[in-house]
Amino acid sequence: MISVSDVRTSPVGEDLTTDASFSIVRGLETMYRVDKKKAAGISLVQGEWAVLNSAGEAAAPSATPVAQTYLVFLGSDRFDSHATGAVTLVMNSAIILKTSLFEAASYNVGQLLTVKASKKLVGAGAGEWAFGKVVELASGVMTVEVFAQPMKA
Amino acid sequence: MEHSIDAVTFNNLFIENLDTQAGQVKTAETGAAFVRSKIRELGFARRVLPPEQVTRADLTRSTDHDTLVKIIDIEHNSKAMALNFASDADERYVQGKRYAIPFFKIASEKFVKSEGELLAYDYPITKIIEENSVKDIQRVEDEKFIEYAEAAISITGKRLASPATKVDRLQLTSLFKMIDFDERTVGCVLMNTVDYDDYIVQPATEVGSPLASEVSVNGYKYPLVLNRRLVVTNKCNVVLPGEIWAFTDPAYLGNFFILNDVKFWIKKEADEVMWQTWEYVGEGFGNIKSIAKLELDVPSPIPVGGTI
Repeated sequence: MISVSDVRTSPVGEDLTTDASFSIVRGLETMYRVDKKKAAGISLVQGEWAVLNSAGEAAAPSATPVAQTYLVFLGSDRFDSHATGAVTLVMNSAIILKTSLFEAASYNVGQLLTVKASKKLVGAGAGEWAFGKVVELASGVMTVEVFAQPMKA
Repeated sequence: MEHSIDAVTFNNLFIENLDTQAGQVKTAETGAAFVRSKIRELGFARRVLPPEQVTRADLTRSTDHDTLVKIIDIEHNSKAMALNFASDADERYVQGKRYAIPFFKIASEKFVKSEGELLAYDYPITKIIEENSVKDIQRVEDEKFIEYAEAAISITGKRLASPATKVDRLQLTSLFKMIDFDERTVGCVLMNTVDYDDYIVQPATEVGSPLASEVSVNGYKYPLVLNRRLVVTNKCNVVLPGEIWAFTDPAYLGNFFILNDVKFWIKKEADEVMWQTWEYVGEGFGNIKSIAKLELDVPSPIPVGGTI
């Protein structure tokens, strides 16, 4: 649905010639793309992360990372998601992605990453579930090796 | 402009025609003398970004309101990479980007006059207003064009402030570089007549004696400057003195759509005549990096106490 407040409605408010803020550069062919019903009242967009709640629905993460946290491949901001009530998650798949969707902080190559309430990647503290590792840092973009299975930092 | 009948007769005919059952008939222009207030230009936006006619079938509606947009695709990014023999290239899930051009109305004022008062005019006021209304409408197109261009450069930062007080080739190349740097090329330069007046009087040491001599006598007759199309406007309240704009060719820039070209309406009720013109258009820039602006420190051409 086109909204008048949409940044892509003239006057266009973003540079449309740049790469998307999120792209999977390895593992597209073999990754599992699974639709999960979205929990009521939340929105999930591509590149964010979701957790499965007790009903098996895709919900927003909390301040405490949990093992059942997954990358949102296609979010609730699409017509098909609106029709099905589901979002598409990447499950049980080792992939490499480039993303600008991470919390503002200082990162190092090799650092383990987790997901908390912001739905974005952030550095994992000791003992927290980690879902990926920084492999490259560029201006505003991070290349992340996402684990097929989470591990404890 | 030569006309066949005088203005008073024209205005009389105008009023009489409004009373006919056949409706309004445009009569020939008259030869009455009157003083014009200013030169009303055709729109410069149409010269930078030629308009394209669209129909309702080309447009998209909304579920929330009764207005229309046109959705335009933008070219997808891609790249190649050098690899070892046993390595794999990056993968990319292709996802296109698009933008929407919303449509809006541009209308002239709704003019009202009594038929008796029309008789007091020595020039064909209704005809002149009708002609001027088209240019007034195109002025609004130009104003929106510049407004959207300003919005684009506020995001990209392609605004260069220079202490120079006149535009010359060096200033222009500084402007062009802002677009060249992004693997684009300048297709069109837009400036107002005040800056153009400065540009065309460059010395022979800068432009060569033949051109300097020619310009001194005949003015600058070329449609190009440094091999880019030159568009000059006298709308100094829209493109201010000191503001020089650079745009790429339209294919790399954006869109200007016309849904319904200018329409003219007229009505007579008792002894009052009303008339108005309007059009439906949509314009915008999808590639915001294709615009750059140079801001010179040009002094006001009007002495202190005057206004532009």
